[in-house]
Amino acid sequence: MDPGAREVGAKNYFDSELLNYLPTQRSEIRLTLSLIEEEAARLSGGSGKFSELSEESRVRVVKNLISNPPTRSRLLEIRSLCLEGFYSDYRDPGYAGKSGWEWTGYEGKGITGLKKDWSFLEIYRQREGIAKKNQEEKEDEK
Amino acid sequence: MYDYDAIVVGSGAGGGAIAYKLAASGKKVAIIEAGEFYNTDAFNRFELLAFRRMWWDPRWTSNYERNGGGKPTREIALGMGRCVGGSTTIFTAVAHRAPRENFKDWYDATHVLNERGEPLTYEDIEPNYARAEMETSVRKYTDWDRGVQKISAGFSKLGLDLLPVNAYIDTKCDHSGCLFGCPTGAKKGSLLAYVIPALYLDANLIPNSTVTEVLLRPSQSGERKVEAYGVKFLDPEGVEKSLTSKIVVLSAGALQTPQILFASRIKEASGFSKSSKQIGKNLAANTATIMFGRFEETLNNWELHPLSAHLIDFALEQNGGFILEMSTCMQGPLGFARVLADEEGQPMFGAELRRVTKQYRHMAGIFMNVHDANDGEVFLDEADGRRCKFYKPVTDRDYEKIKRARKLSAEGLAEAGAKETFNSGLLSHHIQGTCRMGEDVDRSVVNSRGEMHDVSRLFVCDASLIPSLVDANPSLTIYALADRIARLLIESSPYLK
Repeated sequence: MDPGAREVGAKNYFDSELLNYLPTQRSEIRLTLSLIEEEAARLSGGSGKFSELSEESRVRVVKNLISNPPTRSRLLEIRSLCLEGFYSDYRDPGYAGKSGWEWTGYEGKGITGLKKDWSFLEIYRQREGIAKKNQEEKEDEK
Repeated sequence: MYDYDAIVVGSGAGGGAIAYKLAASGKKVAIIEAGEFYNTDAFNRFELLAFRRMWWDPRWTSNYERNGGGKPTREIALGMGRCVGGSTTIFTAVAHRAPRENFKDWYDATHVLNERGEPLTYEDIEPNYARAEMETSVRKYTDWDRGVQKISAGFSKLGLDLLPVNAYIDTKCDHSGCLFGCPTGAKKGSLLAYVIPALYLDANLIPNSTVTEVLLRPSQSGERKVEAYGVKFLDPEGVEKSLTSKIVVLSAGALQTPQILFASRIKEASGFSKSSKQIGKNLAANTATIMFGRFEETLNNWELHPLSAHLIDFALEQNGGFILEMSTCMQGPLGFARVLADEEGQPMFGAELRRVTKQYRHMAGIFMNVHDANDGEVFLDEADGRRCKFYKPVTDRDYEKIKRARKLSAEGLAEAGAKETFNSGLLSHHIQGTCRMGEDVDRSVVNSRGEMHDVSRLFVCDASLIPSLVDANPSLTIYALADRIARLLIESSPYLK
């Protein structure tokens, strides 16, 4: 199966890179992400989430924001981070499938040999654990 | 009395070269660089990591503001290096002299003179070019990848011959990746050719430190009102420090050097002279764009130095005003995906991006540089008061050239067998002209020896100097100008005696 950003773990890459940003830059990225949701809601005429829109509508949302001077540069940066999360040889620890590079057939020298600290992923595992526990408790209450 | 003979601000093509030459003549030199020092071991292919480490933050023109608001169209992404070695650490190493005709344009633009008081000619600067080529290991790069071979065959059918480029690469490159720092050391940018040799000659490198202003005082020589005697800078911890020197050389690049001059309040110090009003003006971008062709064959076009051939038949303004360089695939699928855009520069997204990038191994592209006018500007953001913005109109005339370059590229790629073509947005890595050299004080900031008209002992030595756009990648011309200014300083300037 062809891998996508979800399989490779582009979201985790994105989060890890944000840790390297200054707090003000992180806030701007978060604000821009919230503007994406606002624009998605506006375009869908209600409460539509970006991730639930059709591909065509999602592209329209981001193109609208890129055409807007105040959001242009941050949107381009978000695009770059997303691309780096997928179109590189990044893959989440534990994911054994193809990376974006392997998917394109690129055979350049690898970049993930670089030592990086992926310990932040523990936060996701903890969150998943808490979410699972909450779900179980809800089901017990029923 | 002084901490140094010379403080050089910036370590790119201008700064590295002049620092090395002054150190080699026995002068005590400090190089203050805003970026970090990385050696070749630190260069890898995490593109955004490389961008954050070694490039200035993404900077775009703000043309829409000058054009009365509206949507940003025809905006140019301005890319420059911010690390030891400056842009030469992250450039693609094409090393060409400016054509002879450009020097006539220089004289017409600002009256640049040689040491005998005559118009500066190609012959005057030829020895400087030759020395720079020797020092940076320039050679004709005949190792063409499959993409170049195919594209060359395509252009031959149109009756046009591609030529091998000259490059700062002394050995066969087998790694690519120039844009993120050359990991093999094959590329001889300022870092390897000048900065490290300067350190062996006891120059002092102060990296990760941002010069905030040039220190000025009333001139002691009487020729000009004020003179420079050092710089103020922020050290890596953000602590403000000062160092003094007999001369200050600003080599921070065509976007940063004017900003340092604004912050130093040169206009005010010079009584708002005509020359000081030229600071930041006359920006030329050599605006570029890329067209990629998709071929049926697998090309694996990342395996060699990316730009190894060029078509220069249309270089001069009267012949069309553009140069084609080939072949590029942006050195990895990530960089490729990042630049893909429509003709108007809107980035590609979604399923189309995925479809095109999946074909990465089949791509070979043409890099187009357009001869545009010196009509842009670095200007202070009035709302902010400190930060600068950038204006570089892409006029209809410029856009016509871009369209012609794209049309010819598409024809060449089609003849070569490309099944589809794709564009990038507009970009520039060749920004120049924001503190022009010349004797006409109405149209230049520094004189023909690189010293400011209004401030003694303050020199500019980077792409800012170039009076009108050169029809070649500008780095070799900057190296040559650095060689010329260094020699004039060493041989005949009273400041360093």
